[in-house]
Amino acid sequence: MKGTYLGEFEELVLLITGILYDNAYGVTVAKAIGNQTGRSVSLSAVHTALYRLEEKGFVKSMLGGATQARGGRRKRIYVITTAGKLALDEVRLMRNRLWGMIPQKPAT
Amino acid sequence: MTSKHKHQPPHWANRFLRWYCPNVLLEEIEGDLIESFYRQLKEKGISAAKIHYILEVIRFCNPVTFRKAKKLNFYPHFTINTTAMLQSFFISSIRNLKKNKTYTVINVSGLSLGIASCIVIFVIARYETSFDDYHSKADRIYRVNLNQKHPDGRHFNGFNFSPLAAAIREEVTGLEAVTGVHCLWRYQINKENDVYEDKYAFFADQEYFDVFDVKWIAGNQAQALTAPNTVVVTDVFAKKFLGGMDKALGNTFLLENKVTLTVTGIVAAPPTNTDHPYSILISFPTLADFLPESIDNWKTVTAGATYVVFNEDTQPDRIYAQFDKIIAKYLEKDFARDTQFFLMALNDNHDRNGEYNNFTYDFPVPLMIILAIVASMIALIACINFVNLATAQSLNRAKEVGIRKTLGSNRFQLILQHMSEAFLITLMAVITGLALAKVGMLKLNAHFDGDFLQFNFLQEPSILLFIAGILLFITLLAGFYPAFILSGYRPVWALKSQKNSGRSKGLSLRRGLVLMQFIGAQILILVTIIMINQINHFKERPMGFDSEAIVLLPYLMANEKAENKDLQNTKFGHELQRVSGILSYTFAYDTPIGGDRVEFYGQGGEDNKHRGTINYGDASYLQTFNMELMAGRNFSPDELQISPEVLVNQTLVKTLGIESPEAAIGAIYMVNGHELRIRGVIKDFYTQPMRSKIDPFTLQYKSEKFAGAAIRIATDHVPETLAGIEKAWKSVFPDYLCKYTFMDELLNRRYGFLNTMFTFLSMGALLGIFIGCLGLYGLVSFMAIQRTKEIGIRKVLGASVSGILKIFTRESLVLILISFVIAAPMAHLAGIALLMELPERVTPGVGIFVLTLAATLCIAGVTVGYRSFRAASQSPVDSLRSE
Repeated sequence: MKGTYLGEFEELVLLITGILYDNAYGVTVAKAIGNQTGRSVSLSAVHTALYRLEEKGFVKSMLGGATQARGGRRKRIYVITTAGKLALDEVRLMRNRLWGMIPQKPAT
Repeated sequence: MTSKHKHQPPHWANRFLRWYCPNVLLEEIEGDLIESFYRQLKEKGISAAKIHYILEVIRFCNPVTFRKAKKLNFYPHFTINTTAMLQSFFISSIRNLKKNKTYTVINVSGLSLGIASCIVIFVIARYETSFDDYHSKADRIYRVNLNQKHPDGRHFNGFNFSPLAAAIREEVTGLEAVTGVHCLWRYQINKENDVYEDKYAFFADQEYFDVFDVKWIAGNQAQALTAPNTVVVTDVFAKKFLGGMDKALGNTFLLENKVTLTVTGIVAAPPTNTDHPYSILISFPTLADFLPESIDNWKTVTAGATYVVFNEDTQPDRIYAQFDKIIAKYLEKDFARDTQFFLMALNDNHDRNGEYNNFTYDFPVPLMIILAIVASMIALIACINFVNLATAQSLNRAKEVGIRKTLGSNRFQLILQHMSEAFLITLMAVITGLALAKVGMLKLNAHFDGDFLQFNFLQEPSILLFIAGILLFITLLAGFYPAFILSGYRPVWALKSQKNSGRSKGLSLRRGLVLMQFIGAQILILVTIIMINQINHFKERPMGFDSEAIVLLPYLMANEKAENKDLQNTKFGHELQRVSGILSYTFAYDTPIGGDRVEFYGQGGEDNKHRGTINYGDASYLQTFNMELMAGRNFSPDELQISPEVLVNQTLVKTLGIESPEAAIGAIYMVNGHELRIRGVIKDFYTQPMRSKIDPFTLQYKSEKFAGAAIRIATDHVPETLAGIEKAWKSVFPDYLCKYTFMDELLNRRYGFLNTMFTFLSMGALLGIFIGCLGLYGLVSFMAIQRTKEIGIRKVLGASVSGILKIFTRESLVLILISFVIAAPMAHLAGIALLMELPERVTPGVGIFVLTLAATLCIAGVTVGYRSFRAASQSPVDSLRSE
């Protein structure tokens, strides 16, 4: 189905969004990706990925609370949807299946 | 916490973010950015955080952000009835244009002139850059140029040795095809008893068709040019001289009374944008018969060029290495050392030819740039008119804007309205401009005698695109500012109709713009006058010989034997003596500005070679060209066929190291391996029309070299004299056309580059000042209308007409004075830059500047004065009554 394909970076962002549960927004996602994978990603890239995921229906968003650290500005919190979880499952299943198909080389 | 207040994200980045970022997304993005900024600040320090912030702001400016914002924008859109709105804009625009007819006419005529000149220049540039682009292998075809070092500097030649093509074919690998051509610029053919003349015959070999695209009509293409004495003619030639296409094949004619040619094929005439505008293609083997000295001639270059086609993967380096081998193998040793071949892409042979020559003419890129600058200056002056008049008029439209705003128009819509008005005017101007451009191009085509500039804009996407571009650009340029100003009025202010406020602001801008216009126009005028001055300087400087009223008759029996030639000359001379109106005539090789380039040396020996020119003429050469003999004796009238005693000019004497002309008599020097003795010294004359350097010049009596006659005629009864010359010619040479040229025409052609530039510049200057004055007229009329009451009251209180005139004209004249002060130094620099490469640059004198200032003041004064006189002479009764 067009539009539901999950890119590598999108998959990563989606996973992180799942991990962060109810505290996933631009900054935290970017930071978590940095911590977990060592990749430094830009905020706009994360936002772009989140927008796309939302368009595909894998996450949903709402405006959350403001903090002092943000100069009193509200943040948009992203939560993974059921469709998002299913998509992740599907990707994992496909990976596992493909892994299983790699012929084991006899040790020489 | 305190540090947070000390350090802030960069302000301007923030402002940029707020500017582009849609409101719905601004809060969350800004929040994220700020949070991230303080995080970075803590971890990496202030500068890293700032850089990071800036980069992020820039990165957020991407299409995804905007798309997201659009989706999030859940406020329902106001749906405006756009059609009705546009319709209303259109109607009010038309009404407004109708109401202000002067304004419309001034704008449309100014803009259309500007647009027309842009289009014409565009078409010219497109045509001139398209030369030889149509060949299917154009990007792989190269001309082999000749680059030789001589004692007096490098010589660049687009032509090359005649046998070069054959040599390359044999020795060089990596080439798909090689062809050599040889050009006859003018030639005559004899068919039965008729003699015709045509231009551009090319000797070409069979491989010509593998290199260049030729459209074949009839005949055997594979073999057409292999045998000697065969010729391929164009369809035009066949129709003109051979009685039609069906009769052409197998037909024969005599070329230059030398060789008989048989037609083996018919091809379509080439387009005009080529360096090979051939009318016939003669087989290359014929050249051996036609010009025996071209066989194996590795010493001199005449009118032959060599072209190669690279294989797809060939690199020039590989070819150059092989060229060196050819040079070493075929050229004489010391000659070879100073010779290089240089590959020039075919597409460059017209506009980037540099100092290399070609068969037709050059149109260097800098000239195109100058033309483009002139055209855009005119367009700019016209745009300024528009801006000026629109802002001047804006007060009258303030009420309209106020009412529209009250009724709910927003600023964007109002801008749209005024832009659509600008668009309408520009559209009208474009349509008029297209018509003007068409007329201009027809004129240019007629002027250059051909059908070069094509203007079928409906068929050519490039022109259509260009016109659309102009339309858009001028609409934006001319319409943006007025639209911006007009739409900015606050409704309360606009409806209160306090007309005086805000006037001074617009006025200073208008003054600035008028200033710019007149700076542009005066630069154009000044540069034009500087050019005129320069051309006149070259034309009027004493050349040291006369070129007026000299008729040149080339073509005298180039193929006859020397004895025969002498006989013919004597016969023709007798005939000429019977023609009344001939003051003097001479048989010669070339005019004083022509001749062959030779190397010579004197006492210094062979290591001390110099370069100069040699010419051949008889005893009346000096008399005919009115040259002065300083010392020694002229040739005697009964000279034998060749004399080893020669006449030289002062420069040659100096070059040989002899102190005085008198001392030079009897001196011996070597020219091309021949010993020559000086018998007379001619006073120096300019050997080249646009150079100040004078070449060493030798004049020898050598009748076998005589290639024509130069005849000085009396300036009264010119037609009769010419008819007499023609009759004399016919009686001696019935087989040859009598094709005379005037020497001053020949000279004039040498100033071609300056002349072309001058023509375009003067057109530009005229247009510039005209459009500028149009604008000035418009401005003054608005001022006059606005101040009608003031004038009325002033008159009632006793002001005189002249006093009121002064009020109006003073400002314009002051503006022109200021603009002149700015324009003069700029034009001075531009003039110097334009003429940079010429020797004897004439420094523009004060007179030029005074003349320009006076002319501009005069033209503008008349324009302004006329309009203000009308305003001033109005009866106060009329002007005060209107309420």
